[in-house]
Amino acid sequence: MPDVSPRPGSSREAQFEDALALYGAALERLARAYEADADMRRDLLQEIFIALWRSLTAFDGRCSLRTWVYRVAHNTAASHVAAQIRRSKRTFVGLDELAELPDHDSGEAAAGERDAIGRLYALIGQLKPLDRQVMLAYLEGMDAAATAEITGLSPGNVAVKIHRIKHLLAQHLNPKAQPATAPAKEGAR
Amino acid sequence: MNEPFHDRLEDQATKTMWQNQPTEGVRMSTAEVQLQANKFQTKIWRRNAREYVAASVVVLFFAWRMIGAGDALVRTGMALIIAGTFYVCWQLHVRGGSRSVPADAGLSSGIAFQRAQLVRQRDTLANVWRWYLGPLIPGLVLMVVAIGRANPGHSRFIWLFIGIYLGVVAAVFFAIGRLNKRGARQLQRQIDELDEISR
Repeated sequence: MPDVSPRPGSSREAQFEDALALYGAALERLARAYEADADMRRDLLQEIFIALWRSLTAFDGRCSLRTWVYRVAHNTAASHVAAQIRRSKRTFVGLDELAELPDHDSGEAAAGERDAIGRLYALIGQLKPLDRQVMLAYLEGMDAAATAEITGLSPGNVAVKIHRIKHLLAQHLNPKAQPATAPAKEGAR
Repeated sequence: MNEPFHDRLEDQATKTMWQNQPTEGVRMSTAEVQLQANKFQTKIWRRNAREYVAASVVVLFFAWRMIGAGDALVRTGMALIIAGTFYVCWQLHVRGGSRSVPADAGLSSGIAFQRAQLVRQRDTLANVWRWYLGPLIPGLVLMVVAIGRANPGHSRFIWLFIGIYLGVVAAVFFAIGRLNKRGARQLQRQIDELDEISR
């Protein structure tokens, strides 16, 4: 996942093309992590592209293009989830609560028995937006500093959450290899 | 954090699996995104227009009745209802303005964005008396009282009817107010949670 600065003096069109060329696939994965329904996912992805296009007028290089793209994408997707919550009264859980839940409480989780990626999406789909952002940044290979910049969490908090994510992934993807230690202190959800 | 070599391998394998999963390769050209952005704006404009049609029906009805009403107090009550409806419409426009993601969404971190959204929603619910229910009350009360005064021949029944009518309206308004207050409290808990995380 490369972190690049925009080409000097590049136009909004060039920035948009760069963003999609570099992060288009990651944005697809992000949209799938927020929306399970294929049609609504396409709408969400289109909404993210439009939000990104509109946002680039305000992009002044204060952060990297990657941070900008992810902030816009997550904020757009979080609004999508918020609307979903209002409509369906659906609830989401934090990383710590998810570790306590059985591994079979959603339709996608059942499908995930056959498919590790499906199980990953099922896990992510149950998380609150902020924990979902950390989980996705982790899976995309970002370090704690980059994740902190995108989410607004302190690097310490990100580290605690990443520890929990590793535990959760071991528990759900490879139950035999669970780390023995639990985090000592938790200031986050 | 020193992790066992095996755990690091597992982590890397999960990340690799995630990043290498097949995607559809959905992309959008700049021409297409401009077109879609314009369509999106039109869609929002139409949605707003539909909301204003309902308000226009109320305004037109009371404007029509106002012209025909002989009593000055009844006319004043109807004028206040029209003014209240305009005010509520304007507030809906202002408060609903951020239903689409703001253009500067890239400047806000996840926490800051979520907090701003929650604060906006909380304030809308917490102040429902000030911007939604309250502005309609003077017109409603004045109009029915004026109708009562304008019909002295049926005073006992008309005042009973007005009392029941105002009682029902008050009960509905209080129920709406309480539900919104409860919603605002729930949102405040989410804001407190975010503030706790940010510390």
